[in-house]
Amino acid sequence: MNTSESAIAQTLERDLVRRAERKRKTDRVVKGVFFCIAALCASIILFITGFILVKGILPFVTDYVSSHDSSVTGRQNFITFFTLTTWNGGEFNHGAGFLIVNTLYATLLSLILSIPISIFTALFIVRIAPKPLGAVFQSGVELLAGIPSVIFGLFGMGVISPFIKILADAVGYQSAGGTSLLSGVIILAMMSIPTMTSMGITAIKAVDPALIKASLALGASPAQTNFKVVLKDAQSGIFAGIILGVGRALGEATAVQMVIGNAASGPTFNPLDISSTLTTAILMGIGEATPNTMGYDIRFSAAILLIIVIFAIDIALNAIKDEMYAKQTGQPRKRSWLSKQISAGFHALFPKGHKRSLKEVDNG
Amino acid sequence: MKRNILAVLAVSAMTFGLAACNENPGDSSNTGSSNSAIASSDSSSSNTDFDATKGINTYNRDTTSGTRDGFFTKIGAEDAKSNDTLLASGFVTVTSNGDMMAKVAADEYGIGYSSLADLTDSVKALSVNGVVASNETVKDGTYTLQRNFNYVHKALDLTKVHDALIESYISFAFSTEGIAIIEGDGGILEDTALQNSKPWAQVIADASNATWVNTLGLTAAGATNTAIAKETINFTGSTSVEPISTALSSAWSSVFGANKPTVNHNHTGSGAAFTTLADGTGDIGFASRDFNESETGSHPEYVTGRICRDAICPIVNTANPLHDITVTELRGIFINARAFTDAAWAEENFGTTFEGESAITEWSALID
Repeated sequence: MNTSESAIAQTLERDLVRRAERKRKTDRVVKGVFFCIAALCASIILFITGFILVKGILPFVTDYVSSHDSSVTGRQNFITFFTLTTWNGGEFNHGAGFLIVNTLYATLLSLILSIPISIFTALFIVRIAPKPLGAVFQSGVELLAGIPSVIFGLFGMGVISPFIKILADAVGYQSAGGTSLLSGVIILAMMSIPTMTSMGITAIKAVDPALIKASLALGASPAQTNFKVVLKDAQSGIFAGIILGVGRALGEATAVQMVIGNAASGPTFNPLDISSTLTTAILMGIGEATPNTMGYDIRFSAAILLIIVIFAIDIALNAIKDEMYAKQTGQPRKRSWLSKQISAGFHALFPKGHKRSLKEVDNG
Repeated sequence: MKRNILAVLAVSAMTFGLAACNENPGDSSNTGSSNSAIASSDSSSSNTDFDATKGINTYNRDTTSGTRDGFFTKIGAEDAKSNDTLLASGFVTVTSNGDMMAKVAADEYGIGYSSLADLTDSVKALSVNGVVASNETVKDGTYTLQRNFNYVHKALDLTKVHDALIESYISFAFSTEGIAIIEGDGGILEDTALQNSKPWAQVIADASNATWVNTLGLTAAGATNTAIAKETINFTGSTSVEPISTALSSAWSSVFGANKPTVNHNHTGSGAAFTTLADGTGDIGFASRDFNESETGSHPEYVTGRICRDAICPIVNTANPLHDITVTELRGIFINARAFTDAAWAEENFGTTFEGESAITEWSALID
């Protein structure tokens, strides 16, 4: 009896151990698979930037054979790539410096439109509108985020450009049928508003109700409370939304290409004139370009510039956001080494206004 | 609160109104590409008086375009095809013939150029030096702004089914049936090509001893070689030639009866004609321009030929009273004004001085 019981117990135990071991083994395999997938996912950025870098440097360091005359070869001059004010100044002569200016200018103008609109929309949806109306508006804004860029482009060509044409006629300026920087800017603003509004809604919803009640109890009107308490408390979240919106505006190509006019030269500062950005220059005629010619590979050089511009703006904006957060809470946020260096540089450049928070950073 | 809601309701009413405005242009979108449909109906609704004192807005394709290549070569400014600094400044760059027509249709003071095969009523084509572009004027050479549609394929081993199929496609294109299809899609052929062409049944009968016919087992009723059905022929290259090549290939594949080969079209641009052949993703490549030296030089063994011709038309808005333009005037409009004032610069960049010509920036210079 005893012996058989202990035998059973032993078998059971062995079974348990075996099962546990099997579980651990499966666990290890699954972990390995997940690690591989995650590593692949995270390293795609390295592959892409590596590929773009290698391909984009080629026009400066190797000689290309002309497409029109095989006895002619040439390469792109590094300095003229920044100083020339025409993108296609001949087969071996491209200029992208003005495209950087155009890209930043278009993004800036679109932000001037989209920031107030999305902040006020978010504020209205969360704080002012009755709940059902707010919910309807919120889903409307979120649906807007799902519309493909080519649809925005069609809308721009069919509705916004003709509208801009009327506007230009009214101020006595002859536009190219409404095809203009302003059309592109409006499209960019429309495309970044959903992201910025959604982030704004989240940030405003997260504001501590006690703060709002305290403000109202102190006799502040709802409007005063909304602007001076709610928005102030939600600012770092709203700013995070702006960063995402900037990313979308900087990177958009198709919709912008359809309405901006793709000017060959620049920079353009009159919103009613045609313009072009880094993305539109890269996209323009890519389908008909012959691979491994200068006209094809130079697009990768412009892509390097675009990546640098996006990284630089992203890092700078994140540093500002961290700064805002630190100022607001009086506590430094956990930050990367890079962003610390940048905000240190920021302080070195603008020492006065940020002295207080710098001290806080040092204390932390 | 109430006032806020009222304001919101007013805004949404305006939005719906705007959407309703947009519905009319959308209705006609099945007549052509949606881009041009929207813009064209817009221009017809805003048919204002033409003000000739306004400046000329020029519209160009980008430097990789075959249409742009053909246009500038034919107006005597070949160097401008790949260099934007040689063009009159401030031009809009468009992405395709359809985009060109949409943009010009939306701008009363615009001028651009498009392939005759793609032309629609949304814009007005100008005659050049008094000659209207048509099949007849292109054939007899009086209309000068014309270009070639070309094809390229690898050197063929006609004992292989795959290569024999390529040979049969080219033969089919120049049969009476093939030529009818090419002309039906806007391609222009010489009268001699029409006279010399034979019906497909006759072509096969005449070539009954040819290797490619025997490899395929071709008869007028179809093909006997069952291996044909396993083959895929990939067509690549110019988007301008795509309508012609697609129509040709669907008629061509049906001559094999039950043993149809698979036909695959992937047209991205003239530049892809040679490159897709070289990397093995294409079997027959098309270009809306003549093949350049770097292409033919890289693969001298490839076989090239001409399918048909096409005309390039200067186009203006339908509100524009202009009907005719000269090649000299086109140069004055499209070329950088410096070419007409700085002879040394013109000589250096265009290889000619454009003596006695001048830049044209206002419509009043062309319209009385």
